[in-house]
Amino acid sequence: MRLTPLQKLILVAGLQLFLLAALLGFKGYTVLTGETIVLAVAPVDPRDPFRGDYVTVRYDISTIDSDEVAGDDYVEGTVYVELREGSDGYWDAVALHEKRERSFDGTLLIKGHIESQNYGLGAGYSYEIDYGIEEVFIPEGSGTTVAEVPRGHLGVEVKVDRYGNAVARHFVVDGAPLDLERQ
Amino acid sequence: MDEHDYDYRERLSRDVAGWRRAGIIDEAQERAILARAGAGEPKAVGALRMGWLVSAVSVVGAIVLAAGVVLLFAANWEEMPDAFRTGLVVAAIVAAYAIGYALVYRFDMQRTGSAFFLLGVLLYHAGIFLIAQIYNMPVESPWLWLLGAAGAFPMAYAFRTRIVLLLAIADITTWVVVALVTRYEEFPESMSVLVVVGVLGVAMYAAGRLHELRTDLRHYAETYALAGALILLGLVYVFTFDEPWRELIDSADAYAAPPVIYVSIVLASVLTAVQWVTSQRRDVTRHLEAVAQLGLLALAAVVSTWPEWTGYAVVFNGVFFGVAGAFIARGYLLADERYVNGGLAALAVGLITRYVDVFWSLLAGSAFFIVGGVLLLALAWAAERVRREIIRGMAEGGPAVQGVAS
Repeated sequence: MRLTPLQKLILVAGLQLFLLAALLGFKGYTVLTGETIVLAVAPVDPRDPFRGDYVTVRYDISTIDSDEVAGDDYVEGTVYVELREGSDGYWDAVALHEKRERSFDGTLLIKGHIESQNYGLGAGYSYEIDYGIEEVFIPEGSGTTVAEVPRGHLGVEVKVDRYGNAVARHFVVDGAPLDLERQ
Repeated sequence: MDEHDYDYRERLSRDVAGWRRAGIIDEAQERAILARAGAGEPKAVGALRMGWLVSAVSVVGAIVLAAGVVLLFAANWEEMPDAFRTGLVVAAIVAAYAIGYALVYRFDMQRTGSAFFLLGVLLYHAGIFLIAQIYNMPVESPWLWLLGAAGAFPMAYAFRTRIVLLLAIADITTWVVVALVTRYEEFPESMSVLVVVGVLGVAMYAAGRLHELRTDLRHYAETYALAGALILLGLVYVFTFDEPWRELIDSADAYAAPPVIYVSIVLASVLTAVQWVTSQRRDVTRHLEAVAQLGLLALAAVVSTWPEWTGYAVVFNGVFFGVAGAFIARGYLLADERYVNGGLAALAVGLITRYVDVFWSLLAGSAFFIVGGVLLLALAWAAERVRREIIRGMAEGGPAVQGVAS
């Protein structure tokens, strides 16, 4: 079958729009169906040439000592961190699992990847975990607003779906969305 | 007159201008050649020679416009809701393609129409980055580049556009580099996996040669070959410095080459072997070419397996200057001065690098620049001589002259 140029163009443009929709849907599913949690963070501040200013964040749950949480003592590769909401509104790690399973009620699982592991203070291991949500994009020139928030008050609102996939949404200060001002 | 006639006459008009500047033909002969091809009128010749300018301006226009859109989205204005921005980029992609189609197929404006196709593909990339920004996807996500290539390759082949093909090749190369860098963060693996980029260059070159086998794909062959050679040259350049090799020796105790290196070498070797076996031209050049490619792949395997040797910097210098020399030789054999100029440029970069490398710490600042300036002038003089000799060789019974300009 020989396609006309118009048919070819419709096919190629259709493929590109389908790929964009797939990318949109892949993360959109998590945002639409996921549970909202807030994670405590500490920020640093660079720029991506194609996507603009962003803040690289380090979550309190980025480092987990297996002695301090329930679940598996030794894990590698992809892991599931069980989170529970604390009295301060931030979600904390309560268990670490190699499989998608929970040890407690009222918790949720977030999927991560072990970046490195060291011997912890006790008998267990201390894990550095990457969740794929370590960069939060912000309006151009508003990075200093984030940097000025006192440590311990800054968090990121994250959507987590039932498979553990996470999407970072925006910064929050003491539970309220941070108003980012351009400098 | 169809598109191919235009292309032929435009190329001929440029070529004969070059031959006249090189003194191969005189003005009367130039006019006679053009008249025989049906383009003897001065106005027609002028219009034909302006073709490249139209292409260049429209391509630059598309790139500048797309850069503006990327910067607009990168500013991340909160006043624009995410859905509005996404809708805007989708509408812009559709509009670019619609305008491109109308220009090419309704108004017979191939060049500006093709530039709109390029704009559409660039906006598609902007869309990917926009969605990645909206959902705060990791900055070092290699898959975004693969997604870019998945959208660019079909457009390049469907509408025979080489600049979009170049964009798709750049996407694939960036995907490989980012994927390797993020997967292997620790030295020495982080350095050794870069070999895969050079292997990709060889594979790309072989893909170019394989494209020559089919008439309808021959249009893309040179783009792949040139891109492959440049990727290879870029990687080899990185390996010409000796510091990384010394560091590698210091930390080589716990080193084991990542399997991805061997997998990529095997795949590229298969591609090169197929290129060799199926080559339509059975001359010495083609055999040498395939042997050189396989030799480079063997070197990649040796270097990856036994990296503890400072002499590799010397070997890679040899490879770098060898590839630059091959560029010049290829330019001579094909009578294509683009390769001659490219090879000479690579040669100059290599020589300047080694000069800075060796003499920066040995000479005082002023002596460094004075000696460097004298050497550069000498290099320019030598390059000019070599270039003129080669071009004269092309003119005197060498292969058919293509775009020669002294």
